[in-house]
Amino acid sequence: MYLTKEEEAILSGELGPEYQKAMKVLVKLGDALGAEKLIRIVHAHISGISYQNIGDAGLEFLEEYSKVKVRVYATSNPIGFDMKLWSEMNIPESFYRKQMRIVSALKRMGVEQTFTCTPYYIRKPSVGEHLAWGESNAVLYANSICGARTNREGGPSTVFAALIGKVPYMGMHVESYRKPRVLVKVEAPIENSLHAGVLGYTIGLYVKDQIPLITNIRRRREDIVKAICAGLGTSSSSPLFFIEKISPEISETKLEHIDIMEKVEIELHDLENVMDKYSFKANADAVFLGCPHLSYNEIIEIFNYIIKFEGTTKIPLTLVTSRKVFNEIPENVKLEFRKKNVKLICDTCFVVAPLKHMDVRRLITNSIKQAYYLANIHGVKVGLCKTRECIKLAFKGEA
Amino acid sequence: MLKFKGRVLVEGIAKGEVLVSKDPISFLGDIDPETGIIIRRDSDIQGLTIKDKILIFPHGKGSTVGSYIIYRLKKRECAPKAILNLRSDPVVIIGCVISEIPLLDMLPKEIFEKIRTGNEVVVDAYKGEVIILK
Repeated sequence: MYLTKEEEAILSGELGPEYQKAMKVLVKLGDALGAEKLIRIVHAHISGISYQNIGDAGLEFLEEYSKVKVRVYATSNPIGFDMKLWSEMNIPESFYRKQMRIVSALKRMGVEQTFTCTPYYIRKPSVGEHLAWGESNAVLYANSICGARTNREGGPSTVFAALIGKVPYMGMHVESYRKPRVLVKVEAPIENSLHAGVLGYTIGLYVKDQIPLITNIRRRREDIVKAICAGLGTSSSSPLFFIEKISPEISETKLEHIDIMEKVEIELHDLENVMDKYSFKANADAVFLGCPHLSYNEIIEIFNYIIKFEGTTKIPLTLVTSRKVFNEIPENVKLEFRKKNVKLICDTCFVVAPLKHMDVRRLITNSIKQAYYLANIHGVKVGLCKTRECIKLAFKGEA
Repeated sequence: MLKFKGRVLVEGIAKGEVLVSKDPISFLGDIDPETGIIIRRDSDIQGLTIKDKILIFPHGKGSTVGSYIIYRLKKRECAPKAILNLRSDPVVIIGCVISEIPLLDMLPKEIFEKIRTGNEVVVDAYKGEVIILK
């Protein structure tokens, strides 16, 4: 791989052992996967920072690198609890202390304390920008919806990329790799985020690591495309999809020159097959909305529906968002949520929280991603419902 | 003496007993990070440990947290002495680089026929060679 003089100097240790090791890893990775050079990035999103997932080894790793600063704007994925409400979440104190050591390490490195899986609501990437993002839904959103360029980075590689401010020029950074190979025609009505998520998940099962071009989606609302990203990222390792009339790189003229190898039609029964696995509704002990983290508009929409209900929730209803969006929500909305016992929390997500301490066994959500991970990692029984059904269930206490 | 050539991804020299997994491995979920024991139920090497072994598997799969799991195994002294792949993915490469575990890939497919669990080998991850001793 070709290295500039500055890069060679970092590699030989001129900026100290931490930057040297970070550079060494990027060069090894680039050499191994055939990159010709490193390329500058404008934003790193660091994933793998919940103590629940990375344990003491991950904690020690991050502390080792916290002696030095990131060289590019960097944001961070959710942690194991809400920074302000952790004591109400039944988080064991030992977990709290370890998680806070991770938070401090990131702070010393100069990483923004965003703690969200929706970095695109913190800083929306532009077409053609190079990024190093972890977090599968965010990678797909950046590549597919924003037209920015990032590979599907893992936890440590986002740290190295942030420290150096560069990544190997390969994969999704290279124009010629950004071509769809599978044409997906959607023959099912996609009207809400539940179905959009399940659609993404179903497409992911078909395409595995290939890049699909998705056609025939009539509703193109923000919550729908976001849910497609989250679903597709759950079932595949594909870093990019194209969606007709949304993805900036796909114009009518380009469409004619695409070399499609395979065609797939997704019908309603394909989605129903997936949803059948998450059909339980009785005796739920929690209702969860906010995977990926809710946008401002989604919260206001939920609020407008919630005010129609009298009294308080019968099953705890938790809404999850980023600290940034939380701070933008008007006080009267938050007050109304509190009155109705609707919990609006930030910084975290049930997938990366120490759930075994939190008494969540039977959960209802609108997100296939949440359902998949809670069932597989935490052994929680999960039922899938549309957003409004989730809310109705929380207030009525039964389906 | 049987010898295989591969590509050097992480340098080092290791000598030890081989553990072969014919299936791809996801370090998150397939391996107990505290002991190095293979815990995935349908794995062909379930119940065996990767600790101090020369671990051979075709390629990695699954969660990107895998790099941290390799690192966690190394810290617990339960990591393999070396890893040999047909094709290494970024998760395994980065895990081995940060844990300083010798790693070779692009080994010929025949390695799965010629090397069996329990064989003793030397991995020279400077020259990119795997030598079967017995």
